[in-house]
Amino acid sequence: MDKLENQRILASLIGEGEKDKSVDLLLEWASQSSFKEVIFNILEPLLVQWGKLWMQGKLSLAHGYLSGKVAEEFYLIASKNEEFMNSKAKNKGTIILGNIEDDFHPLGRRLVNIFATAAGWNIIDLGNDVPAEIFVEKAVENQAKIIAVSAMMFTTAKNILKIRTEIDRIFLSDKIKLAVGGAVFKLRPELVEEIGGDGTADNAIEAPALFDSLLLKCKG
Amino acid sequence: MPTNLVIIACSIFKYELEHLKSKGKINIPIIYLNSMLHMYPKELQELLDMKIEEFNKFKIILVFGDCHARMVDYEKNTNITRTPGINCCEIFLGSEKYKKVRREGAFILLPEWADRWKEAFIEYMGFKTSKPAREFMNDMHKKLVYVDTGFQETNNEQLKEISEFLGLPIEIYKTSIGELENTIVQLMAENK
Repeated sequence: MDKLENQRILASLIGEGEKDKSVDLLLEWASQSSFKEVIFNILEPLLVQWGKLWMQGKLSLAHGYLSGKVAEEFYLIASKNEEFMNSKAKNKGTIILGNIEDDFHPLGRRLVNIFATAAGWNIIDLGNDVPAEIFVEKAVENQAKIIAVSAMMFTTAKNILKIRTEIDRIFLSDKIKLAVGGAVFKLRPELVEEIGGDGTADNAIEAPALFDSLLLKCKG
Repeated sequence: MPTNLVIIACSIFKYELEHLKSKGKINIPIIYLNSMLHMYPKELQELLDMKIEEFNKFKIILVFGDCHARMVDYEKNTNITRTPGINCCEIFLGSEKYKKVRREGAFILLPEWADRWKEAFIEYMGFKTSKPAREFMNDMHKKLVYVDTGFQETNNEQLKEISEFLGLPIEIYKTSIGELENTIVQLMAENK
């Protein structure tokens, strides 16, 4: 398998908007080698590159969306493959994921879901526009150690402070860690602390490493 | 005419602000920045910073939503005020109506973007064909809502074309520019 050539072919197909053909091609390569090899040698290196370009504003919305969809569909198929599932990390725990109240920008959140699931996390995705108390309620109900919240804009990011307040109010700040993400935190890094976040990641593909580090800080 | 007051606005408001100007409701200069910068918040910030610096001897009314990471910081300057609202749709519709329409799963289309839809979706967002655009929009939204601001003829052919390209049904939400007019008139009075 020529990794670089295959990456180039896949990049070109996604660039042309060919989502279904891209997934088919990945499946063909997986049948010739394995899901694990295709994911680690072709798909993820490309996603890392694109993630960086996305954060620099050098990747179109269409490209970002399609690459996420291709990854989502391929991971979904891979998750039904016994050999691949045996090779990946075992369940690391539960994460409550969502966009904070008044935020309707799901793209980043959905990518986090894909990468965190692939890394062995059980994700409960609450969707867009989720009130603070629901995040905490679901975390307690599902014994989740991490709440991961996405916000695109400063105005909506401020609503995350309500989650911090609620976690502290019920004395669970040692047991539930608050991960925050979204464009505004990249451009305004001091906001993570201002709204009481325990950590952030530069992009979706780095989110699982953040979750791993936050898990280590949880007590009990 | 107040000579030391200026509006710096996103061009998404151009039709409506020019209409208010023609009616004599606005009697100060208006500078527009390209609404396609919505997709490039860093560039928007750089351009807006430059414009604000250019008019640093003026009182400035910003007609923008929270469109880049440091938009709200401008309001710490005593010479700058901004229209309240998270984005242009909320500024047009008011908070309650905006949230209602948004929670129905709508992608809200304002008149200027409707006229520039090919530029927005094909050139700037990069949807070269209808297929990925349809997939994207159906994944994120349930319908399109065109906001008819009430003083220009609705181009139904154009709306049909947009609806077909994006693969979503389109509804027309009739409103007025009263919300915007009140906000601007009030901000102009406060800054006299």
